[in-house]
Amino acid sequence: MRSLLEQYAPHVYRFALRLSRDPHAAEELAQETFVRAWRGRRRLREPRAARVWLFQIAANLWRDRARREGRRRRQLVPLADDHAAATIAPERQIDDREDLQRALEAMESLPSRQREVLYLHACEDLALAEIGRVLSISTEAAKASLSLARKKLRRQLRDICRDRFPTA
Amino acid sequence: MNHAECDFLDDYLGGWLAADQAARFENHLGGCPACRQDVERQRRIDRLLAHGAAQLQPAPASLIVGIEQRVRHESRRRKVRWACGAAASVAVALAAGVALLGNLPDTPAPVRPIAPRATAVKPIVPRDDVRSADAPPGPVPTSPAEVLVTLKDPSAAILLPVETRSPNVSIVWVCPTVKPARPAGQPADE
Repeated sequence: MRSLLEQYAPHVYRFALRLSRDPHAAEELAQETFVRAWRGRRRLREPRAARVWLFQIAANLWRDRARREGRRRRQLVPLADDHAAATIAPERQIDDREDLQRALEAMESLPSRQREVLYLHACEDLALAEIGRVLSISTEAAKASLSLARKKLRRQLRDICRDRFPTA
Repeated sequence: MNHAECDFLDDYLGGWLAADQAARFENHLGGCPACRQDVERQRRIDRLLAHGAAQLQPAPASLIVGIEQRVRHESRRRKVRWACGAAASVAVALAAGVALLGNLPDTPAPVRPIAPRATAVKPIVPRDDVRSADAPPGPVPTSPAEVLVTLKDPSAAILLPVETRSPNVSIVWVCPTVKPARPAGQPADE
């Protein structure tokens, strides 16, 4: 149980953070997700699908909650700068930290569906079919949302590390 | 710039093109600096997001402990609920069984003989204060089932016999009647 939690809890928390944009709500949502998963643990036939299954529970919980509350929280997630530099090469640290922060902020500014699809694809490396299952949408809808999200991100981050992309 | 080919940029980035289409798009990249720049930019964004999110937003330390506590609580709650359900089921089954046995038509209810019981019960003798002064002493009941109650003043109370299931038990409600108010000035005792 402990090892499973250590393996999946951070992923579920970060996905919950994408959904809620509020660290407290994300922690609450992640806890509730694992309680629900524990209740329905017999339904998980394939342990390799655990991550997608947990994301699915979190997304459903969040959708239900948002429907109940009639609104979604709008607070932006504060970036934990202390951890940013941990694994990034020192010579590119400052540029990369700035770019990373901008990329995350750009992702946060996307509409909820695009943000969720982009996060699951770019950060959790899920396939389109898996994203569709998590968010209860078709693969085509996931693909369309991902394309839109990427276009918007490229537009917002046009000048990202401009020196690395000299205009001819 | 070939706009028709540029439209395949996202499909190419997503790896959704067939091998021949991908090769055609890569040929296009050679002659389209805008698409080349977009591809590089998108790859950099993807790299940043893939490595960065986990670094920037670690789960709080309290998360796993909190989950374990909630799961333990849930487990306890379920056990208690299960035990209560089981106890309730057993109680209902017992009650149903008892009711069924009591209502079986073939098994008559055990009837206690009256006579032995009557010897054990002290016969009810009407009290002197409720016996009419001029009334004859009346027959002394020989059996508890035959009780004679006489009132000194027949208008003082109404006797209501209550039907009982047991032949050994007789219940009579004695409801005192309300006397009319005494006229003013009349002494309490005459």
